[in-house]
Amino acid sequence: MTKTDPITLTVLRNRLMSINDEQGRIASRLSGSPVVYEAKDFNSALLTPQGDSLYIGIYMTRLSLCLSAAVKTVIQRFGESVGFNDGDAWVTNDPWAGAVHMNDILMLAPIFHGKTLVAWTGLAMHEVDVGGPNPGSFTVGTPDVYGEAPLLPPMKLIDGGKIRPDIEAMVSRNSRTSALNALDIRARIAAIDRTRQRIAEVITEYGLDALMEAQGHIVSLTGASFSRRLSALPDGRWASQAFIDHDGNENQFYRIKLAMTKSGDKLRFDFTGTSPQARGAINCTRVGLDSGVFSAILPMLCYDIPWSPAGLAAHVEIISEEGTINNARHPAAVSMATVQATFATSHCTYAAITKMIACSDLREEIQANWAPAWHGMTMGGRHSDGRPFTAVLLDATGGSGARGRRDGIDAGGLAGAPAMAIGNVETYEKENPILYVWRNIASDTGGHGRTRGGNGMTSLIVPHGVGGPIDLTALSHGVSQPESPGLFGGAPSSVQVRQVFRTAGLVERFATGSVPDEPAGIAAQHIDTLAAKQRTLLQPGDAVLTVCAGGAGYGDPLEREPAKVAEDVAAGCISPRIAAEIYGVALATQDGSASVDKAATTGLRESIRAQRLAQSKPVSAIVRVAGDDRAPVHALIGEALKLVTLGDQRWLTCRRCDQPMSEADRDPKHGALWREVPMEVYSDWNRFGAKSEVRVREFCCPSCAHLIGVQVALKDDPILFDLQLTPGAGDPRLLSAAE
Amino acid sequence: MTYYIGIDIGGTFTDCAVLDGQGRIAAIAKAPSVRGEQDIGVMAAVDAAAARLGIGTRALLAETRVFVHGCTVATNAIIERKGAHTALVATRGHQQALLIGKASQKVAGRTTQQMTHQSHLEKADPPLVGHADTFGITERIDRNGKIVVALSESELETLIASLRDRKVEAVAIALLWSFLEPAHEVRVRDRLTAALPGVYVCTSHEIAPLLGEYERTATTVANAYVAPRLNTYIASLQQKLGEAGFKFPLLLAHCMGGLTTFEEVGARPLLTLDSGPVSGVLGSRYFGEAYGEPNIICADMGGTTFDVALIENGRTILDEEPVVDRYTCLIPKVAVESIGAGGGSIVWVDDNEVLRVGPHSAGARPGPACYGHGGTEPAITDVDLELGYIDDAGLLGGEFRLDRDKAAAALDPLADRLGMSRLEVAAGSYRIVNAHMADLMRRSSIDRGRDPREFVLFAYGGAAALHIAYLAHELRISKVYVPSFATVFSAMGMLTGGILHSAERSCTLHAPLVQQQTEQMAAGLAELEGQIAGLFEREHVAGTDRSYERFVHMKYRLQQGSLSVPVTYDLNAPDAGKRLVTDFERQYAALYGSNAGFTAAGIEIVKLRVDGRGATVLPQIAPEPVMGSADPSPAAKQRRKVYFIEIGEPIDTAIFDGSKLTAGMEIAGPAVIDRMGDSIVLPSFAEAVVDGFGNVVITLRPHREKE
Repeated sequence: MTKTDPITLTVLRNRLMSINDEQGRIASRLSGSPVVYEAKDFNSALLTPQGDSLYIGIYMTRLSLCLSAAVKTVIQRFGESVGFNDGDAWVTNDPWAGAVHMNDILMLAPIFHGKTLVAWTGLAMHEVDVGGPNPGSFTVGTPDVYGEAPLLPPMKLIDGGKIRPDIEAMVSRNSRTSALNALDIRARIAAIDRTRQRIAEVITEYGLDALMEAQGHIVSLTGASFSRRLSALPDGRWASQAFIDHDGNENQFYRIKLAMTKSGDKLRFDFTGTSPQARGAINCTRVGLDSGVFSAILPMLCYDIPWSPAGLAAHVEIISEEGTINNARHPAAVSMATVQATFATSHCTYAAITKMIACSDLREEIQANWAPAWHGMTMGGRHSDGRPFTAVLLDATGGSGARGRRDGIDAGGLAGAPAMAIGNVETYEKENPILYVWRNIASDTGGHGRTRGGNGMTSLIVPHGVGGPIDLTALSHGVSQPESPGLFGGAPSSVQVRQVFRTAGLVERFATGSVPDEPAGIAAQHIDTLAAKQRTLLQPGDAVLTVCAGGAGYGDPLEREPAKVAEDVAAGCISPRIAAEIYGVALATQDGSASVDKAATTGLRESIRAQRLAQSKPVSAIVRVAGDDRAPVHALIGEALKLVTLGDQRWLTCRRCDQPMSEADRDPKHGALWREVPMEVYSDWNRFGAKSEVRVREFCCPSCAHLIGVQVALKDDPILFDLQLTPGAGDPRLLSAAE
Repeated sequence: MTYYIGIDIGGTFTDCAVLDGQGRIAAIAKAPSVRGEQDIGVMAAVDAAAARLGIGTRALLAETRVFVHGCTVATNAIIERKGAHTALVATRGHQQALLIGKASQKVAGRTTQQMTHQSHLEKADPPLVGHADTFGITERIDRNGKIVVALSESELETLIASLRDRKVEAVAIALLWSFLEPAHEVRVRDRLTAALPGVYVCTSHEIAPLLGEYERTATTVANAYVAPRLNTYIASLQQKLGEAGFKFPLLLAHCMGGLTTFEEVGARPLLTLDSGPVSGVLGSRYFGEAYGEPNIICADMGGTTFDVALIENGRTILDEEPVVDRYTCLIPKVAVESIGAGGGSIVWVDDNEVLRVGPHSAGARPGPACYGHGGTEPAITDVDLELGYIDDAGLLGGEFRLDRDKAAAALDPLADRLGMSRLEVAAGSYRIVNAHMADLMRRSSIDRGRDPREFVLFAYGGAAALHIAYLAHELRISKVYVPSFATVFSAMGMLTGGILHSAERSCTLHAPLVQQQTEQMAAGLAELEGQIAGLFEREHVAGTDRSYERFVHMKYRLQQGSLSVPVTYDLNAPDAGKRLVTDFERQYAALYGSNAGFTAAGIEIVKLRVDGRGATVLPQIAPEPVMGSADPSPAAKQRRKVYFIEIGEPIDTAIFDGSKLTAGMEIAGPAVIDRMGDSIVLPSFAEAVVDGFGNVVITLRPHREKE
């Protein structure tokens, strides 16, 4: 075999990436499902003959590893028995065979050159409905998978280029949207056929050896780039946790616990201590866990590295106990996996990675957590003319997290799905008997901070032209607790809110030419605040309010430029109360526009700091040492701290006043003061959360009250020590004066 | 003598092409573009053309029958945020739709690579309309076009006061479902127009009567944002030209691939977006017709981007939702896809010691190292020079010299790092940038369900001819046309466009279609045709010169994208509904394969559209008779060493002087033709012939396949 020259290999690597890209684009264009073409809840992968992902698409990263897992299942189950041939394709939606939940129907196809298997290709797409008791197939009220949509273990749908009608019928038969699902099957086939044709062209042009060599190169070069990225980051241990409230049956908290250790060019994610699997649909299987972890690694650490999971795998170790909510055994209920345990795993992993990045030189890459979860809702019912409808409302989107130097994006979408879009109001109204009274950006939903998190969205929907009540299923998490943790002194996002205004009287109001534009203006008979998962009937006179959490904040809000706070108030992004109480900014109104009262702002900020000191107590009995503002600085730790040399020892000191907090190898919170504050301090929306069970803890510098961390915890939780740098691994070079 | 003038304003130069009454190219000229005062560049280019003709500007303009203008005023106003102070009036409760931007505004128009860099995504920044200029008004219409909440007259009066206070220059009105029931938009428009004289007001049901409030609002806002500047500019240019002797109304090139009058552009100024790149596509289509080539890939490579567009069966392909800055707009625009690959693309080595090209560019300043303007990073032009493709005596007939040593010095550090020779680095970069371009061409054609082998290539723009033969080879395309004036091809292309108007509106119906429904569609199409006829009337286009094409946009139910199905028969006929559905399914299968369609999903009509053409008053471009001999030796110039990939080393190569080529000359590769603005590289598998238009037609020998 002659070795292919490096230029040809470069050309081929790009070509293979564009083949996978094209497969995703075609599938999304031809799909009839708004979940796919608009929300981009699908992904595409090109895989090695062994089933490792060479490239995955930029769509839903929470589906990053499922195609690889499914191909491996097919190889294992069919390889020795019926085998696979040119023109074959399999489908499955089984979370114990590679899918993340049943709504994702995966199609997998081997690609042959003559008798040689040269690659696999696959597409995962979320279908609107795949059967089971609830319209939309997210199941509320089942203890296990037997009460959910049917599992389809891998089945050969296409045999030598011919669609098998029995299997095709099986795939769509149980669905409320069977015609749509069948159309989407055709979309997958068209896209996969294109890939087959393109791989054949590559072989004709460059030969089989070159194709196989290029595959090896994709893996080795991606691995080398990733290894360099990791080596340049500091060594240490960062911890995080995520909560899921409500399991679909009972409103209780589940915890995902993560300790991430980075050493050299290896990342280790240890989920030991995560809650046992739930009797409800929030669980995910092992593939959901692995995909969740990679869905954070890809956008956070591989923003300029090809999205090639096969190339990253050697540097990542994931430890988890079987039987936990993100590594569930059969027959756990898993229909909400993507938006529950997998999403929360991803969220938790983001939190740990961004803390690590905030301790490094990659300041432009800092992003606090985005909104914590899809604040979803499915509906089923009939139009006034009797036609049935099933809808998944995907427009409840959050804000993005605060960044190193810029705010998060209002209505920025969901992390790890950059291309995701929300449908137009007119599109939802065209297909479904509903009317949006409003759909805007919700103030005070993002986390406050030196840079603030983007706000989430709010909508109010009324039935319009319905033939009877609407069967509504709410599914979300972060309803009881603020679920996007602030970063290094930034505040967490708000909770997510969903309320049903019973007999809201809006139709009557419309007739008089009046439309409310905030919840306070609605005179309902009574208001039901829905739990994170809840099924209810929406009567024709009712209205449903949705408020989505935003992204988390970064850095102490008292450090935010007052002029920006004034702008945010003027634009309705934050309320005047938050400007005063959280940001300590006093606004003076002149000629109808608000401007910053500088003197009053200084006073307000000092009084907030004094209050923090007065109300806080030490975390531990650490011995204080004297600070030195001329101590050599080795690294900045977020907006909160500095890594310096004092005497002959490394210390973490307050970035604002140079007060030493702890030795460099300890969590600096050991040297901080802390207090608990009611969560509604951060946002009026938080009054709908579980106030008696959830605690917000602020950690500040004992000398100047600079916030170094804000944590959300359950009431009896110990303090989460989440930062521990490895001694000696801190960058020994000194930062330049410019920093 | 009668003249026809086409003007295309680019970022660096304003190009001018002049045809005479016999359709011959009388003059081409260039003048530097003047940012913010584009009419200065236009008049300078006309002056330069007049000078080439040896007559005065007044004499030229007095004899000019048609003056076609493609301008970038609208595009620049949006990109540089120098448009009018614009306000938005939207349905109360929905006024933030533009800021929300469907959450995906942050990735609209970005490459895959940019999308993966999540921390760097940003929505339109700043937005075209800020918070303080966004107003909600109480009113509501539902999906059936029924008024659910009456328009608040008292809020309308408050709104007028606020708009006056804010001193806005333009107002966009975009209410929910207005394309079904325009009454509220009309009422707001009429009150604002009456109360705010001098303020430009436009409504979404007039600009884009289509489903989808975000895109409809974005289109209306972008339109309002560019209108005052553009209208002032065109009026002033018309006046300047009039003063200089031009007697007819100015024609404007628009993004749908045709010409229009101020009559229409005054109402929909956004139509002038990107008219330059579109005009090159029109020129290709025109020559395609002359050559009998219905399927063309148009490849335009300049300094920073490589643009690809398709002509299929003689028709341009429209992008129904082009992205302008970060805004997705509903104006059909000739689809042009772009990647960052051009003469200025930087050659570099990544951390894995892999050679890379672009997507960043050296731009015009400092430009490639060989320009000698201080650029030290090697660019593709340096590579082209190193490989011998460009004469170092320089471009533009020696007006612009290139420094070969500087190119070499820029490439050497890469060679050292990779342990390769300078030549190997240059040859490798050339192959890599070609592969990027081939990937884009492959994607553009395959996305349409077509095999690139069914196409011929048209190559224009300063850098295309240097690469095109290898691109064609890689895609197995057997024929390439390089126009004689590739560098002013867009300006010339405008003169081939003809007047084109288009009207469309949403229409939701589901198959099976009963006769009453197809009659309803026929009536809708007739109404759109009536709108265009009205416009023709005002433009004085005679009835006999008008022609119309009708389209119904269809899709499988719930799909997002639709196909535009031509209707050539009477929709009032009893079987018209069936025929329409059959046509749609046939077209769908041709695009995506016979397994892709699925009738049971249901088929839906989404949109009606009519294109109206005014017979062109432009001359046919005439070829010179081919009289001369095939022997190219009269055009030969000094041979030089040139590298060819298939040969693998620099060889002594025949070089020809483009200005001395005459019709009928035949040149066999390996060879290079040095022209005034570019060079044509002919590999050993290529042969070229010069035709009567002065165009170089390259034929490639069939591919040798591996294994």
